[in-house]
Amino acid sequence: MTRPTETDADATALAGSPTVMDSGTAGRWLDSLVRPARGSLRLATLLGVLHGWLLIPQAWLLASLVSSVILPPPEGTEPAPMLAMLAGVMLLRVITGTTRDWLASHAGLIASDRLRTGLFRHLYALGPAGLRSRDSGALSNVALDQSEAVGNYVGRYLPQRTIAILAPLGLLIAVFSQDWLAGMLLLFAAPLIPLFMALVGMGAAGANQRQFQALARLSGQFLDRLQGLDALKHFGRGAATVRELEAGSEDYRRRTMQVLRIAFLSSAVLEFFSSVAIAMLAIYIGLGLLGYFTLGPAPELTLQTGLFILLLAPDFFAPLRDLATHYHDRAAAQGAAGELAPILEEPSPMTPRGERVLTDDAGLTVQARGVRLGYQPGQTVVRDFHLELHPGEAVLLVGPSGSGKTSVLYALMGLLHPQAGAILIDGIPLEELAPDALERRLGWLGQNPHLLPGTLRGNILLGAPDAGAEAVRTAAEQAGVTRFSDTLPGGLETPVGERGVGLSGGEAQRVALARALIRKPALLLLDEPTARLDPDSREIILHALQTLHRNGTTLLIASHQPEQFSWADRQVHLPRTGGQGDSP
Amino acid sequence: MKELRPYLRLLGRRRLWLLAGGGLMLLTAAANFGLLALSGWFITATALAGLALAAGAGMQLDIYTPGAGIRLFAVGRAVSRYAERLINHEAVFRILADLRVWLFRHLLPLDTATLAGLRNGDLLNRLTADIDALDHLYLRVLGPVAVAGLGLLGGLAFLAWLSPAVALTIGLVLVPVTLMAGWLTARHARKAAGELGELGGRLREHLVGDLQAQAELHVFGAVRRHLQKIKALDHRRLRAQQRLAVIQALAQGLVLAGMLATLWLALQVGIGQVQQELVSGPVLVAILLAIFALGELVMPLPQAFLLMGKVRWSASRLTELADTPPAVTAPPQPAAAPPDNRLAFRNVSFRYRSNQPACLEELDLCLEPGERVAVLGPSGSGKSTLLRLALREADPAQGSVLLGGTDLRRLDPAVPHDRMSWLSQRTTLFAGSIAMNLRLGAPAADETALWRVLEAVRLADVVDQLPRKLESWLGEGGTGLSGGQARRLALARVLLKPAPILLLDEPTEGLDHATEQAVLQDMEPWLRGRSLLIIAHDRHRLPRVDRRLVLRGGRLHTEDPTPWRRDP
Repeated sequence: MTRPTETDADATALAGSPTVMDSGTAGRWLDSLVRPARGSLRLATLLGVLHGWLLIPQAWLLASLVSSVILPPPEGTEPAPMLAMLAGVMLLRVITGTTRDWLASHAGLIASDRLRTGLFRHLYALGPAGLRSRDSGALSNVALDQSEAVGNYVGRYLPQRTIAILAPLGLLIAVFSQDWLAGMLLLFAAPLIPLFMALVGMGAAGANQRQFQALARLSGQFLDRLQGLDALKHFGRGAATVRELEAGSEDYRRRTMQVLRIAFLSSAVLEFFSSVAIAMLAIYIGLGLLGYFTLGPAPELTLQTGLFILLLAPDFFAPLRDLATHYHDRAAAQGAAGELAPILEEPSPMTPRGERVLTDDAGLTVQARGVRLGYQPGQTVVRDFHLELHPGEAVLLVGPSGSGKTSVLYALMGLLHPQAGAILIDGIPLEELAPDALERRLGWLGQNPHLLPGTLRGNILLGAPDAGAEAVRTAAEQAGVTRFSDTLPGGLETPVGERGVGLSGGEAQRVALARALIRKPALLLLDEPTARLDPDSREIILHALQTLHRNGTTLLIASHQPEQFSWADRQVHLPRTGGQGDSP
Repeated sequence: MKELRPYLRLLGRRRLWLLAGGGLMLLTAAANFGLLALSGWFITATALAGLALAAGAGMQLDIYTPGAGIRLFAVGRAVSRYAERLINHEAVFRILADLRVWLFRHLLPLDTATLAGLRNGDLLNRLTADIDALDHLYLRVLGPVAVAGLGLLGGLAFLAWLSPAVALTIGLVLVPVTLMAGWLTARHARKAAGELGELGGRLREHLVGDLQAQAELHVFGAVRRHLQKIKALDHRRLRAQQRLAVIQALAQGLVLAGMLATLWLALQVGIGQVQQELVSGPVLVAILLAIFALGELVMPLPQAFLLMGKVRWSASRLTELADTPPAVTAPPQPAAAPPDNRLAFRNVSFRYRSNQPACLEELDLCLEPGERVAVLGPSGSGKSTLLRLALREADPAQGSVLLGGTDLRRLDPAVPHDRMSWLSQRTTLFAGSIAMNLRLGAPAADETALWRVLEAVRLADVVDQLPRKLESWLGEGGTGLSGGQARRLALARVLLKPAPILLLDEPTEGLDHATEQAVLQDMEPWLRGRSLLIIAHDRHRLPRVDRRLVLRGGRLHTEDPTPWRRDP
């Protein structure tokens, strides 16, 4: 998941190129996420447009009031009713503005939440087989941060996209109705709004993207050095690295500023046009009112219409400027789409399940018939695998690394659906069994024990949430957990994981064994259970397994060190090319 | 605000840039103010003059000065805005570099165990988010607030010169309402930022744990339960985010309401003033349009205050990390570096936390110059702790560690790092070329030496096949190499460092058997003439050594029949 920080050809060759999504696909994908928030979003957009259009009566009333008061001779109109109407319009603007803000954020939050919920569900549906090549830390960051980026896009950018067209359009029509020349002036300043927006968009997007890239590179370098701070310190490179960071920042600053100097010009153009348009309008209106300028509708200008036009002019450009500031939300969301869509499009590799239950409560008979396994269509890890596992047996699954031992275990647990062949439990095809029918009787111990945040007891209870204290204690003793937990001040209540005590690999593996044992499984599947352990932990675990075997638990152990399990009943071989297993 | 103090000091170092950037922000605001006010004044004045002209009076209005003023303000607004963006980005890039270097300097004295924690995703992620938040301190928090404050002050002073009554009305409405909106957001934002950060951290932690333990969750039928827990956490976070969104919308609405109320009241008061002929018509219109310009100054404030809450929370977390006391302190007057390199542990006891059992207990060990000692033992027995004590990453609770007869506590902490070359359990490679990674401990090493050491760890062939050989670029964290290759590259780097003592922690971890044996044999010339303290949990994973000891129960026991010498 880590991306190269340099566009070096070697870097790409070494680190693999990141997935790229073209902006059209990303846009369509993003639009599909809007659905759950569409109601709030439409209302927010509507209110935003209304909020903009309400400027028209506001400006009209202001201009009328002022001109009626100022112009001699006083027309004697009572300002009170108009002041009341103005207050009403202003109140409506506050209400529409506040509601629009709230609804827009709401839409963004809902969209990102729905995306996240779907993503969580999908990640869990992929299971260990689907997630095997992904780093869970990086994946979590993607799930949490990128969904937020999508939320910002939905809440900030999308409503503004429509508002930035419709609100100025309303103002333009209002201006045209009073003075077509002033309207033409505005049109000239913004030749064609969509064209202008595209210009702004391209410029802003380009500037933002370049700036983001520079920042991302800088952050990449910084994080890389930060992660290895212990090594840098040991090699006496602390001061040198500080200099390197300073030089790197300086270099990036110089290069980025060269780009930004040009890129900022596009927003400067918008700024310039809006400033100049206001100035030209003011001068045109002034000269018209003086009678110095007699072209077109100019002689008909009054203070009231002139002021009305001048009041609307700044707000004609404001929505465009807002859109430009939200443009990076769009760029960020497109980046998010590029990262999230491939994950969401990945199909679940698990075996679909039915409704049948297992009736016999004694042992489990497991059969694999001509099973072919792979993680992608066309790719085969295990070919034509056969197995017949009877209750009480201890069978070793032997083969060199890469021969698909883990894949076979995943398949037997329903976590990897065979491309061909069948898996039968007590004679019933796995896909006809109810989701929990097999699992109730199953235990699992992998190569790398993963403890969840919580206490030792909480981790053991993962296997059987309703088990009592006695059962936890027994399982902990059987798995050799108590040997170290009893020396800890908190005993089994000691917190583990990132915020708790760090356990050694061997200790963690014993906890993982305890949570498999507390299920009192009829069938226990193990994947290289002792591969990375110190001799002590290895002895403890081997001893526990041997005891289970004596007590009649069925064991299927994948291992490339079969000599450790000399007490097993038989071995099933899995050659590197994907093989036969039991003779059919 | 106390938590922001170190960061304000950092900003202070760039005060000229900030003053220039802030000044340009103010100038842009002033030009906008001038453009709107003058335009309003101009069209009203021309309207009045136009009526007078029509009535046969002479022209009494100078239209050239205001016309030029309007054009000046218009162009000035665009130009100063462009300059402001450039200068502020120059400033932000500098601040960014300052912030990172500052953090780096503060983290450097921490012990390696704490630093190694930076490789833990959550901490690193937190750090990144906090630095990103602090990046906004100037441009999106302090800048807008300062410019709004000063702009409001200047604008009001100018309006007071035009009409004290109207200016007073504006000041009495706009300022308190803005302050109230700011107070409302600031009060909630800090608390909400803490709550959101805490919930986000927990959500991340649970998600990472669940994703790693997918097989267990599926087999143990715990998927639904855990998914619900994740969703519940996510839901709580969503609720907090929604509360914050409501507050933000309300604050934004309050500012808009304040601005419009100001406009309305100013109009009311202004009409009276015009009717009493205290204020001319053009001036009234100028004031009304100026209120719109002031409104543009205060509208971004709720957003700035909201961000302020996040920045303050990030600042407090970052300071907490940067202020972590180092595990060891340098002596005020370090003793001279000892001439010889005998490394001795005398009666050393060590425990990680006071409430945990000791992991080393009255341990004695002496590594003579040129001697090779292997320490074996089960995981968690404290083998790696021995190496950390030798490097003075921690001080023993009792007893002492001596280098050349001098207690490490009396030496400059850099001395043990200079004398020893250490391969830690974790492999750390950097984004950079292979050569750069190798030269970390031996900046002067020539290419021949690099190839020789790569041969010793059986990597020469791999590197030779890369198109750019030694200059091939490794991604962050050394991506592009397999785990075993990365481990061997790290070992090569340690062998290359010309230090008299080698500390190797499970050097062949993650290597297959054949490669392991080949490396153990081929690194022999690199061990010659140096002391070696090597750690393994398996006696078959060692090069030739003089003694093999087993660490059990906090003490070293002889494994070999050859008697284990006590420290003289």
